[in-house]
Amino acid sequence: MPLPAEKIQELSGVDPRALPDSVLDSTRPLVLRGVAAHWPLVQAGLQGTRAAADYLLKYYRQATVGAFLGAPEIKGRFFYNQDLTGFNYRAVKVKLDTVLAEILRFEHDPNPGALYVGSTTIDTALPGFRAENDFDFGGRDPLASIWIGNRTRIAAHHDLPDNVACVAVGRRRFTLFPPEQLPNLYIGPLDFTPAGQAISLVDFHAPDLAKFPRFEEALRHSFVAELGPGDAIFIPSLWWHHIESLEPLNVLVNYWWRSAPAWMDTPMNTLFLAMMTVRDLPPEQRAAMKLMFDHYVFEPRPEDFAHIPPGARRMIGGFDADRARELRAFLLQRLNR
Amino acid sequence: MTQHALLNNVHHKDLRIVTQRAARYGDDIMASPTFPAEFRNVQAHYPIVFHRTEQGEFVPLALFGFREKQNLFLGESGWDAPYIPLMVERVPFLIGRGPNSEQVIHVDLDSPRVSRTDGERVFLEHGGNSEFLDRMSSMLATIHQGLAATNPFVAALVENELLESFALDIQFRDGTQHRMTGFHTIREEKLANLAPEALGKLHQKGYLQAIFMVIASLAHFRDLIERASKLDAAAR
Repeated sequence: MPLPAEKIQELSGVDPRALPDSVLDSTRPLVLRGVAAHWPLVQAGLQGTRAAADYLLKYYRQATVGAFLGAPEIKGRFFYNQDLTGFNYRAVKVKLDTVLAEILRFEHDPNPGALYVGSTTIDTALPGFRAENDFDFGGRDPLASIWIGNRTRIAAHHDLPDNVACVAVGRRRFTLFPPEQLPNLYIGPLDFTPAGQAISLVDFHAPDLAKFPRFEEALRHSFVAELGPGDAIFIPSLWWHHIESLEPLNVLVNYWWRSAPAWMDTPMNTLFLAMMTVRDLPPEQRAAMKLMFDHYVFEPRPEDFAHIPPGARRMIGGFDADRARELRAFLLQRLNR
Repeated sequence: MTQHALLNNVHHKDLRIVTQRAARYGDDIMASPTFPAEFRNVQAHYPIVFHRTEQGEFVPLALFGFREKQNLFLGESGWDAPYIPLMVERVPFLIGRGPNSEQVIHVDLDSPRVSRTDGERVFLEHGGNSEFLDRMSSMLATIHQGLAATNPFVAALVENELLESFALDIQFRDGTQHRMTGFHTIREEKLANLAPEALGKLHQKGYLQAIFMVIASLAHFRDLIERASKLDAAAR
């Protein structure tokens, strides 16, 4: 269906050897055209799928990788089964050369089985690859992963880290939504997910608007971009994204990093625990807790804590690595009951 | 029969483990696999011998008796020794592989130790890990590492031709005789004549200490015979 979507702001001529803070600290999505055009993998991919596969395998040391395998019937859309009790694909451990050989074997098949090696740590699977194909993130220390597959679709989901995703081989279509589109995306179960993140239950190729009427509203706030070899996209933390891979062979390299210090756990833990401990409280108690969350977490005002001597404010005064350690020990003990 | 299940705090919320030592809980065993990392503790109480499997691999064993099902340390009041080899202590837990081939704890639900009414709680009331479970899980980790380190140790023994089969003629106090065969031990003469380089290599890897622990452990055959004699006398 046509997307009444906004185009993502595009930048060209960004220096891959020093990605600017204006990109990496952005709170809006950005497309960086051609930023990886010089990567040897991008160049190899322009010669053909075989050359791209050969280039990748140059770095491969037989480490096992995780892969999703889907029957041709799923048409590349990795998803749940009919009643959301399982999935429509199999997760297996395989050798990367086997997967690449299979992808190339069915390269000209109009409807092959779906093959996807997702979220694979580059330094483990392809040691040395980043010496030739990489960006400079300044002081940030991102996790670099590679995603290899044929024509696949990954349902809309979000991730906590900021993300730079670079199409090295093939083409990908990204559809992004700002965090506030949550209620219009019909997100599925939080604790039973295909790859760790909750996903939208809407099939973007055939949205069932009787079942998901608010999805139209989400589309009105969506951003789209189609990326080719060497193009990258910046996806801000917690922005929803749906990703389609459009060619017989598609390779993506992505970088995830958090602007928050490493001791800061994912706030999703807090959300899950709050669902267990706060959501089902009697209304008065829940209202009191909402007030406390506002007071201490969402809208803390310095003047509310001025009555405590600065040296005695402890958690209220702010966290550092050691204060986080103390709280972790306390919580571990309290939770283990 | 065994029925291994991935341990989890929902399906096994009421699980308890009987820690008493008795034949009815499966402690009537003649020997238990052991590994170099626990030789120091094992050699203080039990002979350590090597059993050759059908695949031709040597497995170090802590010996508790002379016959199948005979555990001379097992009595009315439990296990008469302050140290029980970890491969016995771990029962009914074992290390398995999870869906992403990570290490996970499995429990043998058909073990006679498994109970809902007696023994140590595995999980706390609301699903937290009990101290007992924490202890078991670190024990399993020790075993996993210990067993992994056993193969190179045994390979070094084989390479240096330090293993030989032995027969033990045992004369019990009442005059009856028993010949124990089928086990291997350290060839002490061969060890004594090892070239300094070979000795140095064994020492470097920490194997020399383990070898001497095995040799020292053989002194416990006297204790084992004593226990067997007492048992026979009592049975008469």
